[in-house]
Amino acid sequence: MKKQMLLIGFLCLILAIMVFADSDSLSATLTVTSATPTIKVEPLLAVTLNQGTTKNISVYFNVTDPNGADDLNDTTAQATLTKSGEQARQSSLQCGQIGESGIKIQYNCSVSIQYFDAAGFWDVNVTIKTNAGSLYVNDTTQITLNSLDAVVINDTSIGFGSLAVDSTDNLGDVVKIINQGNSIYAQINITGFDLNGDDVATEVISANNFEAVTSTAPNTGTSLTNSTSVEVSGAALVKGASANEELYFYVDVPSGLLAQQYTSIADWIIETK
Amino acid sequence: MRQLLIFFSLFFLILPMVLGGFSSPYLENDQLKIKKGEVKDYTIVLQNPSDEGIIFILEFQQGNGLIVSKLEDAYTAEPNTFDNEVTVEFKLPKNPGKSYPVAYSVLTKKKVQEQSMIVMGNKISKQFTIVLDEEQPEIKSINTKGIIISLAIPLLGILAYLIFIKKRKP
Repeated sequence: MKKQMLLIGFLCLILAIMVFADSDSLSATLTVTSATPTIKVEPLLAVTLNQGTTKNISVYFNVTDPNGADDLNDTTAQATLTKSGEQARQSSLQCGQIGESGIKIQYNCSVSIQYFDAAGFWDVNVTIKTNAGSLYVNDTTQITLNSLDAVVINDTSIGFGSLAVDSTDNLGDVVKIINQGNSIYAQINITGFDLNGDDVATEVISANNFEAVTSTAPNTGTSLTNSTSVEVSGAALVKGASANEELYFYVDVPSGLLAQQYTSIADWIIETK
Repeated sequence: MRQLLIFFSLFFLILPMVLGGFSSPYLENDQLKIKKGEVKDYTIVLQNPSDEGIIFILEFQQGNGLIVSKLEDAYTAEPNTFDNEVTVEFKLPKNPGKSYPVAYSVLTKKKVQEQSMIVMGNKISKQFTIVLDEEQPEIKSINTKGIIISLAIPLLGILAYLIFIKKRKP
């Protein structure tokens, strides 16, 4: 009988386990009060940069200080954006305190970023000091900078002036290609077109008579081809504060050409890729 | 002297130019992941910091059945605007492959009134790869209750047998 009672008790234990098994996990919460301020950065949207200029982005973050809001030194709040190989961008002006609720303070730091700052993920580093000088950091957030492709051709005209027939290597004005974005271009192509005479259209200066060079040394560059994109030898466009590439155009004037004004049959295209 | 002066008024490249640019989403490893059946937006933001209207001509080159939808081929950005959004939609074909190379170009031209004027166009070419996003099979969480019940039931059966049936045996 005693043995039976033991078995029944064991059965009850099994049933009890089954009942408690309704809950998949058992959790315990232990709250420890700390005097350490905690920083939480608000999520940041991907940023579209502005061509050729700066853009200010706002980094919002909350600091919860169990010692009270007065424990924090507002003037030390700072946000810095970093990415490997890029210049760090730091909030230059004092971050603004935009809200306070008990022991929680909200800050807004404005960070100025450049049009040439690389696309990709940037680390957001937010810091603040207490009045006692202790530094607190949150560096767990990232922000995405989008790609910006902005290539500008400067205020330049190609003027060849008066040219003699059967003359070669006549230099025109320089064309400056400026990068106002954050992309890097390993290649610059030009699509040239033939020039027809304005009065006698059958008179043609072929696109082949033009050469694009990255220096003032003729016959070292690339001859153009009518209606065809050709890569300019050695031409590229990096990114940066004053990133640009200069192209020089030379023309050979064929013999027997009629004196008149000549105009390209289509728009020439400068292509960066 | 057989020299003849010819006068070139080469009108190409004669206009002062401030051509516009465009922003596009950052793609890690130049890859855009799309799930089967999903329509993915790719938004380009056209910018025109100049005082004159600029025409943007958008051309996509793609193959292998990738579906690319855009409203227009050409868009005009008004002067001094930085937020002209153009959304392109991508969708994979019914039986998608692993990846699809996409190349596109944006040609910018200045709006000109005079017919005789010739403008030097500026073209920016970009490329990326659309990759089939194959969903990973979801790892199911361990069902603690199920395990306990499946262990407990046979155990109960054995115990019941021991208590009630075996005891009755003489």
